[in-house]
Amino acid sequence: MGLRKFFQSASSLKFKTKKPKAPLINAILVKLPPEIHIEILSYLSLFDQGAASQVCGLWRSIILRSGERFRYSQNGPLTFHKLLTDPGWRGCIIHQGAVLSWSFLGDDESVESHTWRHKNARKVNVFTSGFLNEPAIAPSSHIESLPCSLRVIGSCVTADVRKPIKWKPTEGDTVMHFVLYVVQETYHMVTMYNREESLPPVLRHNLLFSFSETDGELVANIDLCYPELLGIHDRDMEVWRISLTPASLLH
Amino acid sequence: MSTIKLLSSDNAELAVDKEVAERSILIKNMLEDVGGDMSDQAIPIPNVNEAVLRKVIEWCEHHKSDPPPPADEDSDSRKKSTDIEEWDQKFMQVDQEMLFEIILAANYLDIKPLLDVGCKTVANMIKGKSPEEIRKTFNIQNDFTPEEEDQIRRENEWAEE
Repeated sequence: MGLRKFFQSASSLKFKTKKPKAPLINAILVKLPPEIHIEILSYLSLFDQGAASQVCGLWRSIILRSGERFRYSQNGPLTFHKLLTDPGWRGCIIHQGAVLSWSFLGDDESVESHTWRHKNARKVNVFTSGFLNEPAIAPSSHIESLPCSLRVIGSCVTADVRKPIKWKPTEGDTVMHFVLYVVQETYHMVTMYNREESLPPVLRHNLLFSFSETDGELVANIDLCYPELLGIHDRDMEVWRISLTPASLLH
Repeated sequence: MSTIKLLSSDNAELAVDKEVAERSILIKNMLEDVGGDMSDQAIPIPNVNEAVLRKVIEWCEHHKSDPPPPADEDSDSRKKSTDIEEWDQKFMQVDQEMLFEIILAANYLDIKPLLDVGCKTVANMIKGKSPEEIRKTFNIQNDFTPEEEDQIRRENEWAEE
């Protein structure tokens, strides 16, 4: 999107704050037209945008209401994936490849946010919202007491992870715990594998995940790839097909 | 090489090579409109004072041979680099007032590459700072009510890891 369009959309931004006030006391900064504020903020990683959105009402409006331009950003190990195709979504934060949390911009302009710990995810049908073109999925090995876990957020109809997930199970890990935030439920999937028997050493660190929906049931496909084949996108390797069960059924 | 004159907001007349001045799309278009002959008449630049105009001209001098920036505004890459070349970094080592004045002038005069450098410089000043540190850096007033602040803090807990 061009700068001018941004300028137009930014001009109509409403300040979320209630009382009228000069948002920026800095006389020079306040002289800058909105498109320059946008330009400046667009150079920031989402992490820094998070901080900037807390600075003042103007920056907050710009950052919360901007379009796809701000959708992806990376700063060191932190990658933000803002889910803005659907205007209701503000974004999620990914740390070391794992979705830590997401936040939601409601119709009433209130902002809700959830960390991954929250089970009562907002009821939004991500299958139809299409807010996420790509899945955000990755392993993370430092969640609570689980030996390792994978968290997924996003539209999983045709989710396809093209890049291999680099994941090194630690010694003795036998449980893979998947938490999938979709639709109205938090899905949990627990499956066992014995790395000694099931995974030849050469495969151990290269898993490809994809998800599909069949008759309302989510199916996670885990492709195991030889590292030397990943470069040429050869996926006709061993496939694990795992059904995901809504968390409510597990308890 | 033909020289033109620019008249700053504080009535200082500055002589500049036409080629240098034409880094400004505004001036370039203006010269085209009048047929290019402005040798005896200074072009008024009413929004820019002498000190800032001199800085801007200095930048244009240095960058007069740069290839024109890509015209495609939509070529924004997902991740925008804030790398700034060394000369520009030194050039931008000015006080904040001058920095923002340069940005404003670059915007007004339509010198996109200079505007980019200015915005990147400001972005680099924001990077890695907490909201409070950012406010201090730019002397920005916290215009949120305590309730709003509290709400914002809660909203942003998710981003703090």
